Amino acid sequence: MTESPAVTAAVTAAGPVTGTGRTGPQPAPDRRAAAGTGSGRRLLRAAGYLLRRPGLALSILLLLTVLVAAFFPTLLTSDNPLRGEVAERLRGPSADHWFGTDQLGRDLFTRMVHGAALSLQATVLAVAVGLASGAALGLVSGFFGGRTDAVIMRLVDLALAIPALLLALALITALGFGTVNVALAVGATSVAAFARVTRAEVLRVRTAVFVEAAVSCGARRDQVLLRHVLPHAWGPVLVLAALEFGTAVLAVSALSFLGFGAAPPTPEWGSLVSDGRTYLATAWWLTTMPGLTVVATVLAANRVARAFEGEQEKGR
Amino acid sequence: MTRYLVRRFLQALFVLWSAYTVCFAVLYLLPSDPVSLMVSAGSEQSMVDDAQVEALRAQYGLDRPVTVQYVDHLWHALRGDFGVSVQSGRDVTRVFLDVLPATLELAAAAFALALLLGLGLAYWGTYARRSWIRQTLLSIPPFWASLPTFWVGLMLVQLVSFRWGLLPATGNEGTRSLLLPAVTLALPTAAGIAQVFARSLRATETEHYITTAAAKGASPRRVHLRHSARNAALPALTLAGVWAGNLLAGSVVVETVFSRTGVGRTTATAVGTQDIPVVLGLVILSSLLFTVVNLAVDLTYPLLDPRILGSAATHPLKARAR
Amino acid sequence: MTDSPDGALLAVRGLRVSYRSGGTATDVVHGIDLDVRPGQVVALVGESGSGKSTTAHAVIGLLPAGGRIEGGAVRFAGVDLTALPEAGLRGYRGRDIALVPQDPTVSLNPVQRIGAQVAEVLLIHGLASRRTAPAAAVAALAQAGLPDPALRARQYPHELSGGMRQRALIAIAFAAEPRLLIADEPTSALDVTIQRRILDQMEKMIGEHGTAVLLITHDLAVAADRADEIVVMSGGAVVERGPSRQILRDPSHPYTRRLIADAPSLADVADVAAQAVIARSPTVARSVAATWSVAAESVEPTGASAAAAEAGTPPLLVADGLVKDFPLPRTSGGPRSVRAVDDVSFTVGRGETFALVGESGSGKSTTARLALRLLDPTAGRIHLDGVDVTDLRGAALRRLRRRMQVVYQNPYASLDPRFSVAETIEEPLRLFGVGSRATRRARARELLSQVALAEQLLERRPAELSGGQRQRVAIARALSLHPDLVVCDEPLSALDVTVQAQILDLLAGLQTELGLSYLFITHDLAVVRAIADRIGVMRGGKLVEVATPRELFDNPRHEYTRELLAAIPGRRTGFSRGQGGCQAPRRR
Repeated sequence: MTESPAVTAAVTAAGPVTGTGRTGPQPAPDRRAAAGTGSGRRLLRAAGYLLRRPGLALSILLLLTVLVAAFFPTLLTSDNPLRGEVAERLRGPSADHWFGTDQLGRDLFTRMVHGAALSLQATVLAVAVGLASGAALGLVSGFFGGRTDAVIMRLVDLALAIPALLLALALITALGFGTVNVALAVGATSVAAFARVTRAEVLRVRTAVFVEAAVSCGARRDQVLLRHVLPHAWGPVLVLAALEFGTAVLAVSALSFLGFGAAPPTPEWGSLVSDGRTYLATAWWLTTMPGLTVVATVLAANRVARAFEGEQEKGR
Repeated sequence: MTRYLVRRFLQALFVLWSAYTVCFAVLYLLPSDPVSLMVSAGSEQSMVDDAQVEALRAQYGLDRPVTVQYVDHLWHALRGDFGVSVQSGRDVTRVFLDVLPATLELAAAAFALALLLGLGLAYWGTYARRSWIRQTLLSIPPFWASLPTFWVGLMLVQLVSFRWGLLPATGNEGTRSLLLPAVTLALPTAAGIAQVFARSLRATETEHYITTAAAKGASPRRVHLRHSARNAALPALTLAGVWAGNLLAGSVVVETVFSRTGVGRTTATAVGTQDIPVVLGLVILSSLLFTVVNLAVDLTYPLLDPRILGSAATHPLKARAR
Repeated sequence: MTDSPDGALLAVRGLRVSYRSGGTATDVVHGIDLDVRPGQVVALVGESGSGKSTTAHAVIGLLPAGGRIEGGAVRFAGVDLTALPEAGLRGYRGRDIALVPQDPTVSLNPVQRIGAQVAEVLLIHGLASRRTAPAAAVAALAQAGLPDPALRARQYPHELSGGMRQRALIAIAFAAEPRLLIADEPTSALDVTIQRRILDQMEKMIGEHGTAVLLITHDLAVAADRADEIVVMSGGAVVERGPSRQILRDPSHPYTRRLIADAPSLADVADVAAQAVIARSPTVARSVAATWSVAAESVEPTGASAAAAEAGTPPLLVADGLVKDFPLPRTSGGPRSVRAVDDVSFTVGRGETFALVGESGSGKSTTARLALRLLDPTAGRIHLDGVDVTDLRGAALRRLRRRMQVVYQNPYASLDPRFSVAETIEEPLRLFGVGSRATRRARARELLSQVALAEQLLERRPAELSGGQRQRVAIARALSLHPDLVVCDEPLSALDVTVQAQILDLLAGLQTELGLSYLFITHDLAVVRAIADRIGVMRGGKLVEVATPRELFDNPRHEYTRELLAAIPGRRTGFSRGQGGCQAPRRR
């Protein structure tokens, strides 16, 4: 059965645009091997690379901060996210309370920092689930081909036909609420995209002339897969993982906003925005600041992913 | 041509059937079933004894073997009967039909807006004379795509409704109340359209037929509109099904933010109460939408891209990649 | 140098063009002069990267993104086009100066009917009204020699063959009856037989309209056939110019001489060898001398191997009745499969070079893959050294691979970009567990010197090598396991002509040194003449004729072979070998 244009195009768009597959490796005569391989020199070069890209440097800094908040929240704030001072309630942003305080006088910055733990862990889990199962499916599909490939790809087409958010909602209905279930549901929605990209990459590399050359030199299937196919196929898949990070932050916070994440009063980024809705007219910071944090995180993640993608493309 | 139509139609049916099957499997085979979910969800009156649970299960036909349930559900679904909402006891089809018009209105407005914004941004972002205009315009879509929809809605309400008092913040009444939700819903889709269209416009720039056209003495506008845009629109068109689905999915968030009645809000409530028949109904609705839009695209595609029929099995995008 | 632009339709003076990428500008055309008089055909000849295409595009102001005219003048009928604003220049494009682009398969708008694309040029310049344009387009198509022009006008590009599409592009170019035609490698994407018909058609139309032509080509033989005057470009500058005959008979610049010597259809085997000796370091001169002697021997019509076969030594490879069907994607009522190879039998003797020649789609590469056992034949048997290897599987098949190696067409694609040269050459040894790390490295060094590459390249990656160097690495890899048979699948076609000659030379040298047998796949009859003992001509999956080079060139039996021979460019002017190509310069 031939695929319909719409489905195929959907799939094409779902993957990152790596612009490859047309001609395979291109000559790049100007790229010379590094003159010196000392780690000091490499560090200097990395610093220079970042200095020429201040946006990228800022993005990396921001992501690092967010990750520190997620895994070591006490390094950034010593306050308790659940205890507030009623006298201090609904204060706007100030030097004491950077993001202001909520209706119970809890410091919003502290709640954001602690919220990062659940939100980001869910994001990381979601991407990991999508990457691991998607890449495995794509690898099997692309390398073995035939009937296995046909069945897997049919399922992938199907998964791509249902909007990610609806698929996640259906899974949450079946799995129940909570941060881990939200993460699993979001991860499951990205499996199809990962499988697609991995399969496409494996197919691209598998049909490359240098792979046939390896076969004609007497390489076995497993040797071809490990030495020639995998090293060339994993780049775009990792780029997709980087891009998927931003998407997953958005999806996790949307589901949390809808109230399917952790139960109150545990803070999550999405639920913090949702909590602030009641005071939308009077306390703007309660919705604005958490939202801005999500936006900044997603933008930073996408910037890093793009840099990664650019390097990836240069390297082929 | 007839063969093409028949094939596409059969494919559409296949997609619908498999979507139904997979969702049925996920929702009915996972450890939780509608009754136990219902019993645990209504936490206050959860003092239900096992006998009552069994009675309920029998009432919903859940005590039968899974295959029998599947065939039974599929048979009913084929006739437009998706069962009864566990929460309200109302017919699922009825539940959706009641709120569908409001959502369609919202989605149509959002789609028109997204198309206008997306195509316009991409076209001017690619062909504007000054490079800083191009760069600014083209940096907008990725930015839009990074914004959480729920937050954009709230920011719009905060500024436009509360601070400036221009438009109502919530509700379903009239065009004025439609504007903010439509903008909110349109942004991600507009970003998608703009990115795809700009990318394909850029891809046509190095195509040799563009050089041929320029060598005929054609003006830049003629080259852009008749040769570049015409070819670049095709990949964007094939994504219409995805965007229709995304608009429906986006309505879940947007209708919640703006407290509008509609399919999305119904869904959010159904997920909140773990009302499985309603959720299953929505998934079917969305795959129906996707399938119908894709079928429409597939049927109009040969009119726009002559290659699709000429080489029956070759897909235009694949053919181009060769 | 022509000093007087008097009477010149196009006069380019001191044209300089640069490309800008990432903030740095690179000059690609360094101040060239060029004149084309009305009715004259001037050929701009050079290898890829010589700046010839850039010059052509600069003339009509259609440089690709990043390209910029830095200085000089392009005077057309007295008007300096570089000084005109974009809108002014548009009045000339298509109307006075037309372009026939390089690749017909991608140069037509895929979603517009052919007729509309021809009519467009007339509408833009107001030469036809909306009502008269369709008929005018059909007339233009008819004039370009398209059969059924009215039908073609209603068709889309994908429904036409490559040759027909090029005719449609010629129709577009001639529609407004331009005074100057710029033909940018107009036939290099087409098969040789179609190439000739298209060039004949263009020549006819040029004659009828008195159009002046600037012909861009990498092929000196095409230029010799079609142009009144040849301008040779190298490295962005003109190195030589003059009437075609004079350039070919008496080239004054060494670069032109090398081009003539390296163009396989123009030069003699002797010249190839002689030129190679000049360009070569003394260490390899020995093997080249050997080549020379082999080449001289193989001129004898009865190939050495043919004699050997009669003497009772069994041939190394015997392909018997090979058939290969490929399944087709399911279409309405169409055939289920396509027969790529149809009952092909041939033998390759020890130390012999057997060449399979054919146009694209003739099944020659598929035949090579069948022989290598990379594809399974639908029917037929393959014997290596008297043993039937058709059904070998698993470990036995792997052992077979040691004896047959392959050198691919495109050295940019056939080397794993992540592997260093050493890793690439050692891979077959490692796969078969031959020797220790140290002995493998020693073998790699030895192979590298055998293919005349410096040892310092061992740690380089393919991206840091030139095309010729990569092909040498690929050859070294193929030799590492001491194979009996090397299949060369178009090993030259991705390389520039001067590099082609060097690689051809290397292959010949290695054959004598190591006693290799070659199965040589190529589309270029001229190339095989220099290296093959016997030539098989393939068409549509069938082997239509097998003969020694001399028999084939002097007395082709099959009609298709004759057509192929006639299509070799350069034959008209009598510069081709076999018709007393002795006019070409002999350095010895």
